Amino acid sequence: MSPPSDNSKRRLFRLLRRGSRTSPTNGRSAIEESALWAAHQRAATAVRDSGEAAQRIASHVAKQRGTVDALADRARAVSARAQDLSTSFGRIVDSFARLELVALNAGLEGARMGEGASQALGLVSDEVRAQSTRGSEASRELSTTLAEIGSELLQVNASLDRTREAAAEVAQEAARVSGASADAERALVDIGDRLRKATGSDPETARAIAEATDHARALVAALGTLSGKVPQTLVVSALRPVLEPLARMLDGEDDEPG
Amino acid sequence: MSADADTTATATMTGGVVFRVGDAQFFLPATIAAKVLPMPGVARVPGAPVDLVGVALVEGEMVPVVAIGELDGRGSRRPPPTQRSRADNRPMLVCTYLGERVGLVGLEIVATGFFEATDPEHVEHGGAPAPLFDVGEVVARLREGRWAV
Repeated sequence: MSPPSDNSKRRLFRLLRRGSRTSPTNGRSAIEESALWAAHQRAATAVRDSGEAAQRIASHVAKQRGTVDALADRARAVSARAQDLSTSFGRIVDSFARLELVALNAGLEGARMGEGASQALGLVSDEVRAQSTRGSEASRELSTTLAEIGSELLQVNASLDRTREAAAEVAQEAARVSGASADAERALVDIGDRLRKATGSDPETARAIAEATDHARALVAALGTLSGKVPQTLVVSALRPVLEPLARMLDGEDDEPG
Repeated sequence: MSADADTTATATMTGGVVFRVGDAQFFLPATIAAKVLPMPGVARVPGAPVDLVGVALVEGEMVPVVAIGELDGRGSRRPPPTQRSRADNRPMLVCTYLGERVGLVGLEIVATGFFEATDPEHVEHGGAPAPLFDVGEVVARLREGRWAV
């Protein structure tokens, strides 16, 4: 803390004098004014912090919303691909079904050819039919799994929509908090101005008064420890060079005209 | 039962097709069963008997399509609507009887080839007997209807 100037010192002492007499207008002591200014400073800092925090929240929510939007786009793209695949699997199932009919017809044709000649055809027919049945079942299972994935993706999309709505609400609330903080900050500035007019003090002076009060208390405590141990004349002679200017200042001898 | 059904191989083995209608299993010899096709587009015939699903164009020829079982039943193997693809893969068994072709639907093809004939009216498949299916009765029923085909 830089050393106070002469003007500051004079103003400080004026306030100290007034503080010692108590204010005739509102009865508030300089110490109370100092506490009031300190509270005002704390409130101003808290309001500024809350406003900045609200802006940071709004910024994070905006980023999160962008991420959610990108995720939703990807989920929709995957869902569309799953739908395409499901259609393709449907065509594969159709093809296997047709292949199975071809195998059945081969077996029927073999039956017309006679038992001996149709044996090889029958074997091939049975094998083709068995494989096409397996392929058809596998394709159906894949198609069912894809349908389940599509259903899951729909739920993911629904969840993402809800997340987006919640993010929008948080952003609105953050904007509201930010606005309220700005209002509160303006109100605190107004309160500070009115406080300055009402008390004639300012935060720096009030802080200096608080520090001077602490020092004065310490001085009184130190003098108390000397009481009875050291002759009073010795104490007075030792402290007089220091205390006389102080006493003069407190009595108002150095008050500037006007 | 079909008197025209003839055995195509030895006395104990008969060539043809075994199919299922509902829970029952039937057999048609290869001389009657011509081929298995996917269900074609069918034109409804107003006022036709219930069994006559309609007529369909099969290899350039109009063929009556007759339901011998439930079209959407278990035997038809028709997938549920959610799993149904654009193509209708329900099988239609095309038969030739006395020079006329008829398509049978509402059935599930079990097997084709040679089957052991336990007697002239039955074959055995999968440890269960399969009686000869009477196509003649189906055709006669159609002929008796007002809208004969």
